[in-house]
Amino acid sequence: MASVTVRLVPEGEERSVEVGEKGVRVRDLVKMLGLNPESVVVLRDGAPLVDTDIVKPGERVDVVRVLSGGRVG
Amino acid sequence: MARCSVCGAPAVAYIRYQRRYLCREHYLEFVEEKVRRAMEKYRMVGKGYRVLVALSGGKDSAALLGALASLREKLGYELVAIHIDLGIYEYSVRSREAAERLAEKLGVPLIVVPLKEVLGATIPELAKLSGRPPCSVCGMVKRYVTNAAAVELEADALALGHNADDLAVYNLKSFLNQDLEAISKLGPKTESVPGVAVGRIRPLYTVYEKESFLYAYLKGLPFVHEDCPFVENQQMERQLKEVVNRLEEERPGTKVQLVTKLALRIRDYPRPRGEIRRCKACGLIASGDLCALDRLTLRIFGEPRGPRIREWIRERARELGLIPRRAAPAPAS
Repeated sequence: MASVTVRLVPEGEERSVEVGEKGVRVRDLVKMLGLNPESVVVLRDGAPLVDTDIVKPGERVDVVRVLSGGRVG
Repeated sequence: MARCSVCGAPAVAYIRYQRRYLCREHYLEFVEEKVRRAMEKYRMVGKGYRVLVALSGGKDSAALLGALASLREKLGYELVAIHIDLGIYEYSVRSREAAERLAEKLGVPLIVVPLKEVLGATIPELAKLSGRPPCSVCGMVKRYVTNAAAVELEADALALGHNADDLAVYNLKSFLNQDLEAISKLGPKTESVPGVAVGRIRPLYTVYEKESFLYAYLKGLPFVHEDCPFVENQQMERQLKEVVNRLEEERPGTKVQLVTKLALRIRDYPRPRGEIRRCKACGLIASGDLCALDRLTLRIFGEPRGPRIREWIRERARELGLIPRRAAPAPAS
């Protein structure tokens, strides 16, 4: 079975996600991780990917959780 | 590979609620255009305005200063920035460094207020001494110091980096608590009260949190990407943020509609009761005899320390040649 490697940022945790031979759409990958596409940015080699981009088996991506700042004063 | 809907270059972002793909250049333009439109629509600034920008060191204040710097010639205002070193361990060290690098990169004069030196205690120390939660003390201190700096600098507006997600979440939280007076403060801007309070503006009012991150990232702006150690996962704000994002996922455009409609109806919410008063110790805005900061510092240090903060900022502003101010602004158009 083919897989892609995902690094969760800022936690730093790495996960291997099983995908088909053709790879996986970014949007589907994020959902497979149990995350909402609205709250993360996915980077490959530092470049942002869009929902429909394909991550191929053997590739590594960073899934960056968009952190909220302080309180509204 | 997805292509930019404007120019056909490789896309770096998809704006679901507009069904548009954008390349780096058109994405930066898209966010700056959102900021410009909000500033014009809500009359946040006028020509010759001095805008004080509050920098936390995080992505939103980076995006805020980045967008404001890009628009400053077109809209004709002057920028000054302020960062408060809160003394929250290594988090504050990294935040301060990011704020300093950001201001330098964008050519904006920066005043750094080290809380330990200026007020005599850090946020963790103030929380311990007062017996109040750190986030509550921190919010109060930040409101005080940014307003004091805006008054001392004779700024016409104080710009805050609250994004559409923040406002949607605080709107819902206040609604759940039926704190309608709190909702009345969530508009795109508040008015100045001459001599005691400078009006606050929120240029990122319609910019999504994710858009703000991507803007700061693509523009190569320095920012810290970590949570404050005092933030807890159980905080209602976090849970509501997830709820709002689930709605956005199902119904793209929910957040922008919510804040736009909120801005339209903001005047229908009741204002907090009680008259606006001048603090007897420091002279700034207060709801009683003393402002919240002077009440707290009087209780824990035996003296109100607002005047000391004001004096410190005034001296720093003089050193930087920011006061006395020369040009007078035109009214917001």
